[in-house]
Amino acid sequence: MHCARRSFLRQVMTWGLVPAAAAALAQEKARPLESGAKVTVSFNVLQTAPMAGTFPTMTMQQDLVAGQTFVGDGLEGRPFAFGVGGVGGAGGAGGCNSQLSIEPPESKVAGYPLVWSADAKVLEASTDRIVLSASWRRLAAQRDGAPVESSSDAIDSISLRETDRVILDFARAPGCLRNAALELTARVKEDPAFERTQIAYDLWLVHEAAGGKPTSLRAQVTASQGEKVPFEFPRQWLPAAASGESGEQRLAVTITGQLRGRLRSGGTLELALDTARSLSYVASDGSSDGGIVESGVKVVAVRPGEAVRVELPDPARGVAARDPRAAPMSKDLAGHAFAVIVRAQPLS
Amino acid sequence: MDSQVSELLSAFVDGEPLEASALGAALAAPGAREALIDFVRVRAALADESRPSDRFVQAMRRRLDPTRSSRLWRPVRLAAAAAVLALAVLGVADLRRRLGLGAEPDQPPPVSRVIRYEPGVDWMPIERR
Repeated sequence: MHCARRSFLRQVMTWGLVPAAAAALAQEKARPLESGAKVTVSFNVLQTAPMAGTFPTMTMQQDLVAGQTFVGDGLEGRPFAFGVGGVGGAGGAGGCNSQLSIEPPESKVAGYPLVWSADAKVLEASTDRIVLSASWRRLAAQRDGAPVESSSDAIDSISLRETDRVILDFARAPGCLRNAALELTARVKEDPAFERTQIAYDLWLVHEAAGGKPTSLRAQVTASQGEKVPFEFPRQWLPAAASGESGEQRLAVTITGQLRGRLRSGGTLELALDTARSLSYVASDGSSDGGIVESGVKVVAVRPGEAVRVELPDPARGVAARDPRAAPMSKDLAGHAFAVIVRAQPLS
Repeated sequence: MDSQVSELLSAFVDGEPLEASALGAALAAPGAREALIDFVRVRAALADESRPSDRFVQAMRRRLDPTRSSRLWRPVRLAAAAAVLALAVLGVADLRRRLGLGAEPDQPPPVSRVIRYEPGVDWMPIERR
């Protein structure tokens, strides 16, 4: 009987609680964009001329939904190629030129000392988190003019924020240039129906001290659909007594961040909350030990006006714990909890 | 008749305090008797004219009755005071809201969910620039 009960409980745990917990955890993972929502994936070439700065000179971009590939779906199977650093090519007599064309890269090597081709696939897409696979090839001409692949790479998974840039390849002195680079970027393509939407954000920094009354600080910001907007709370000061730090020192806790949100057709809002916490000991003369800065991004879907609380972890946990300053900071933070509460409301 | 005698006799008729010797001297003056009688007559006449009629007195008493007046105006006064008080309260509340001094709007709302950054998963140290 006893064993049967345990077995029953185990089954409940296995088939009931575990999936429920897994579902709850999965709910807080990056939520995919709505069906049909697109990501603009771009391959860019950056060039540095011998007597000038570095500038983007060519871009090839496609709007893709999750599961689609750049060349196969975006370009309907036609490959593209960046010809870089050509001298006296089609761009001008005797000049230095580069060219983007939709044709096999092998056909470009005759006119350019460096030819890049690339492809990518959108694996996941949510606000401020786009996961791609990517591959690229660098081609050059042999002495006899035949194309040869001088370098290549295939990346199974790259997780990008919407403003991230990834250098895929870098080449020194291709032809008439000092150097050139192939770059990959991705951003969510805004739904035209919500392009003019504005979103009002309310944020509270909640500080709960053991035995004390919780205090809160409020920040308010407004941003356009998909626009990243920064926020910052006034610095919090804690005594540095528990850690045995000098009595003249105080622990400064600074919470800042960035917020990006999008209204979806179903009426929900997708928010990417990027929070950073800076901890540092500050002496009475204002000098500081530099401190520890940690940050993270949470992507959540909320209803308009719904408030969500995001708690910040103990500095003694995780990667920052290896920093020798983490242990005393953890002691001084013991009994103190910091959390950010965020609420978003689209403006009509 | 001496004017001082007349003033003394007039003051006597008006009931003002006088020295007895001065009054005696005045009454002994020639014509004092007639003057005294005249003053008494004038005084009596003035007293009759200065007294308002009973009807006038009653009307004025009704009008000036403090209890009657407050009974009539009390609801109006109370309403006016309540209106002034309400406007004052609203004004102060609005001023606090405009100045961001009100405690209520800065209190965080009830939350529907609590989520946590997980160190090493979605919470990482970053290098200071």
